Amino acid sequence: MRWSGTADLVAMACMLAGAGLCLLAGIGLVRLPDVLTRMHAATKPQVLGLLLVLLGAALRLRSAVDVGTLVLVGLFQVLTVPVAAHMVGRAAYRTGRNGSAHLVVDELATAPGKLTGRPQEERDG
Amino acid sequence: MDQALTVVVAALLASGALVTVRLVRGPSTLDRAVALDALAAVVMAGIGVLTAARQIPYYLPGLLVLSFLGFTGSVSIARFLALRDEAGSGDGDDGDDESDEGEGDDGDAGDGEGDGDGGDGAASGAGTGTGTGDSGGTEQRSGG
Repeated sequence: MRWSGTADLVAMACMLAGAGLCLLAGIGLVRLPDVLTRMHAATKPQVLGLLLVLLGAALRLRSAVDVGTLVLVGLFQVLTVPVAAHMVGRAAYRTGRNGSAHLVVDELATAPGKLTGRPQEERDG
Repeated sequence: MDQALTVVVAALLASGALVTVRLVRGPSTLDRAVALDALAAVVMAGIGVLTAARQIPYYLPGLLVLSFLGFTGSVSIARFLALRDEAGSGDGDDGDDESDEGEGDDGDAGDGEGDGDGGDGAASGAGTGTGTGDSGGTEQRSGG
């Protein structure tokens, strides 16, 4: 069975890459300074790392039902992770935990009709 | 193959430990939410590696449930808990602002009422305008 041996090798390579991305996320979460940069590190295993591991598991399982479940897990993850990250980032911006010292440009602060930042004082004043 | 699997499991365990460090140490609730998301992803990757190593599919529904759980926890923390945490910590001004922001719908409704009181003529004019529009609509409906 030459095909299964090749599939096992590819699966192991995918899982190695996925585990490396998870390790990068751990290092980044510990070392990076504020919420937005930590989100940048934390999304690596959530999408690409997990998809690589799921691909590796699918290459090892090789049955239609299991691969279907893995595809479902990957699809759901790809759909939900951006929504969760968007809400966390918006809450971080609104509570002022966006690491303003490290921001190069803050386009939300000068956007017309903005709903974030400090709208109360501007509306009142 | 076994050595590669050992490397994978070691990397996953190390990343789980590092993410847990951030989960414990994180200064704000949002840091903990981000770390919790990453920890859920690492655990999902570990379950995937376990499934692939033993070639048994029984843990796949658990993978699906973990995906749901991470999403729900992160969204609920970002939506409801982060603002309360900010109000509870030292800078109360931001917390008050953000609680107002969280109830933006109520604030907008209050603004609308205030405008109506300030300009009664405009408000009544708008009311009659909508009223005639509605009656016209009913006439059209009755005629058709």
